[in-house]
Amino acid sequence: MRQETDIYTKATKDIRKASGIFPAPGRLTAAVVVILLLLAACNPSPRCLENTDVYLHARFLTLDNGKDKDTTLQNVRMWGIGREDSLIVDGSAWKISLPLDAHYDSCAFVIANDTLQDTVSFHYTRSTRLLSFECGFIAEFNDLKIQITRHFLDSAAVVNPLVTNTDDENVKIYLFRD
Amino acid sequence: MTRTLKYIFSGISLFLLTLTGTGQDLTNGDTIRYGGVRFGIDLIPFIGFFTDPPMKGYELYLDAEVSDGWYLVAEGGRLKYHKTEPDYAYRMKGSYLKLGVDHNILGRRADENESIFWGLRIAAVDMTHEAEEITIHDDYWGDLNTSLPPDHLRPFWFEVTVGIKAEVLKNFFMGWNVRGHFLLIYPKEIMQPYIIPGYGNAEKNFPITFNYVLSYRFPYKLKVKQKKKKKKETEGTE
Repeated sequence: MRQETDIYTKATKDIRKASGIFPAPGRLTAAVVVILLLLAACNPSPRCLENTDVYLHARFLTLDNGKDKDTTLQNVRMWGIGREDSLIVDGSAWKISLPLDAHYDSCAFVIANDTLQDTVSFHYTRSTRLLSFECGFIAEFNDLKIQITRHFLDSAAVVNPLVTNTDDENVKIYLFRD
Repeated sequence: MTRTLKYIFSGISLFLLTLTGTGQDLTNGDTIRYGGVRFGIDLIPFIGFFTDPPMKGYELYLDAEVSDGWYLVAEGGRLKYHKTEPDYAYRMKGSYLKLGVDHNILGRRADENESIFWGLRIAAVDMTHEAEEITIHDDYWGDLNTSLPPDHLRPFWFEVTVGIKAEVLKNFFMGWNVRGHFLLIYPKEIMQPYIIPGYGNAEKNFPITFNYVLSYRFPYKLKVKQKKKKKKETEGTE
């Protein structure tokens, strides 16, 4: 019994020591001061490591014996309606990244080659999402729908209706075969 | 920075825990000793007052020993946070409540009040957060200025904790504990909170936090019953 009491006394002393990381009032004050100095010395500036760009990703295709075939458009120009002064594509392209307009629920782009031009319209619902506290907010677009005129564009299909900060393909645009 | 400090202290805590003696079940026969209601405060949230931007909050602690080594525990607190960046201003505030039990794995004697304990908690928070003056940069169509109205959230979670407590002065206790949090109900919103008050980093599935609690006990008498197994052993010896 005496031995058990000794063990118990030792155990409680150990706990007292361990619980008192700052056992005395003076040490407690010193520890708090040290922590505050450390906090004052550190001024972390976290960086944004995520992609904050939001684009609709589209690919040009033709149907070859019922199968999709990537197709490059030559001498093509593309701009947003209302932004005729700013070309998004100028040259050749087999896939494109389009900025959707976060101010409205729709936007449209003109795509033109040397002789013909078509209009591609997008309709969507908009939302604002906090990406992270380092990166801030991004605009996202969901329930994507597409309409096209058919001069040299044949048809279009939405494959992913969420347009966000990923590289996922959203739209397939089919061209008429030559 | 606060979280980093918490991790450092958690590491020290775990190290010290390995140095402490293991529990000895040395319960004597039936006896009367003092239990009590302990009222305390966690010191860790006060570090947040000195961070940039400040994370203002507090956490109060209440427990009562209901039978030998078993405590009913209630913890509650509040946290307020305001972060201003060039592209947004974020504001959050919330109050939380945690209810559960602690169990002292050591036997208790009439004159000793030290404990190594484990505990379980169920916790909930009532919080609101919002963002204003959001600027989303768009080089093509032009920058978008918008805001997100106040969003009301009530996440629930579960906690497991281990720690120690010691009576350093008469009825005055110091102790620390490490705890892990498991989020149970958390509606995914457009704007995920930065910090869930009482939980920690909202982006983590199992955040570990550290508490350093000072508490005062309002004592009352508690009868400790001898365990039957021990009693038989004692009778056998005699």
